[in-house]
Amino acid sequence: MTVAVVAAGVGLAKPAEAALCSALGAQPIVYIENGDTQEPLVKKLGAQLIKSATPVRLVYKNRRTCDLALDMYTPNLMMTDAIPIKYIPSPAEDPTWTPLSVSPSCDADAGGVTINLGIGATFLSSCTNLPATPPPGLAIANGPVQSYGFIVPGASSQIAITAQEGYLAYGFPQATGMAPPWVDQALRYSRGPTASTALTCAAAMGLKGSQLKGTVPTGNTSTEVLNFVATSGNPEPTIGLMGTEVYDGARNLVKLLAFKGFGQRYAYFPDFSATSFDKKNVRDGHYLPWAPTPYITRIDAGTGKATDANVQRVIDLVFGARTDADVNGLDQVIAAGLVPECAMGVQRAFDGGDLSLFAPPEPCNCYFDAKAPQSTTKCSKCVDDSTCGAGKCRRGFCEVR
Amino acid sequence: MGARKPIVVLAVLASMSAIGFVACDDGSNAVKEPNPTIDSGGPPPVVDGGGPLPGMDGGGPTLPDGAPSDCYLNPKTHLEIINACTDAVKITKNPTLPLLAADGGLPPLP
Repeated sequence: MTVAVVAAGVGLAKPAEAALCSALGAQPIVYIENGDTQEPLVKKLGAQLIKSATPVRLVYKNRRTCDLALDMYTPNLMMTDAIPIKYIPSPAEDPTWTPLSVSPSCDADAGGVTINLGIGATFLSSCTNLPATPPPGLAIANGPVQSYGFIVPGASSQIAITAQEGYLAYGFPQATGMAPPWVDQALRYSRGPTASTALTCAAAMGLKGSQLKGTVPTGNTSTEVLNFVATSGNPEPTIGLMGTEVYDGARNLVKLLAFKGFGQRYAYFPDFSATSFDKKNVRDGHYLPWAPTPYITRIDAGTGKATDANVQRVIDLVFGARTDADVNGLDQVIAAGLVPECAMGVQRAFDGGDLSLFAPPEPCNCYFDAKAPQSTTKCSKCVDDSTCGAGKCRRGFCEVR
Repeated sequence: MGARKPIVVLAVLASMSAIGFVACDDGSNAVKEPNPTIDSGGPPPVVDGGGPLPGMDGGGPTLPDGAPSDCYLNPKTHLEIINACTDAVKITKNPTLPLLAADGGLPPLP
């Protein structure tokens, strides 16, 4: 991979000593390694779980998808190192903390702690550092869909990019791709080849993650890419790769380009328009850079469930298989800008793979539309099937089936 | 998706580009990319050349009255799904990219 590496004020030195995560309180802990695009969901879900009548604390580390998967496969322990371990504080510990706040840090026990759950953000088949099949006892389930895209500074005049432009801009060094205005490699911000953002965006452009040419910030994080793009003094040639839920929280700082895939007639935003949040075009197949988020955990061979009941609770909440009186995982998934499988109308088998139609067993399109930020649903509310005609009452709305 | 597949798709599209069409979408949600100094200056790539989209059986999409269309009302295949009729905002962008092959295919990476 040919990259330039630049610093963005993100230090890599070991942080100052913090409290041990295991000594924070009496709540059981689920230790998670997650892609940084999944941090908003971890924080939103964690905020509800720590306040639950049966509280669970989420302790997490942002990690590139292929790296966290390797940690789960090996398995490696979560250690105190240059990447901070963060935790969701209880109201007693920090009554002002919200999911929009920076999470406090804690230290792993001496020698490290077992990682209970890995949350990636793209197909693990894109990871060249993993064996073809996971080791025995480890299960991978595809969770909510994560979309990605190309961000530019707010002052840029660009509103769309084609797959061919992306291939030439990110696949060729400097200006040799001749895909204006993106002809300055130093201003084409990317992520390392183990990051889901790089892998899924590359696949949408006909590239491999290792073939991306651009500038990877020192810390290789979404936050750095966002900061570099947002503050660029040369807006027109500046572009970066970004998870759309990170973008959704930074729409006042940057713009997301509509994307036109290979064989596509028009370019589309992930949402109905540049200002909506409904992920309509991800859900129906018009917007192509997306992948499911794999949930990796150890399971009991007999039950097929996670060996840790609290991990299974987290998975069930996120997948919509369970709703607690005081924790609604599906709502947090939608609020975080992800698309639950039950709201998807298309599927694919690998990064950049062709789409095919998908009919979820228990669709939640109406519920998704009702819950997505600034979105509304035209579906009728219901309490049972009797008012839904040929449809089915699901989660309080009449779905078509 | 590897680089080879788009080349095949573009070749198919090129073979269909001479056929006229009537768009099913009136363009009310189509936004023309406003950047003439960058994106104009040559004929658009064949893939966006204005012809109807091919069906997998060799025929293009049609309206209920049989008229040709630029989108698919009842998509089933990948190409049909990504070009299905929609009321979402759509952007027209047909950049001139000198490194593309005459048939619109991608050049090998350096």
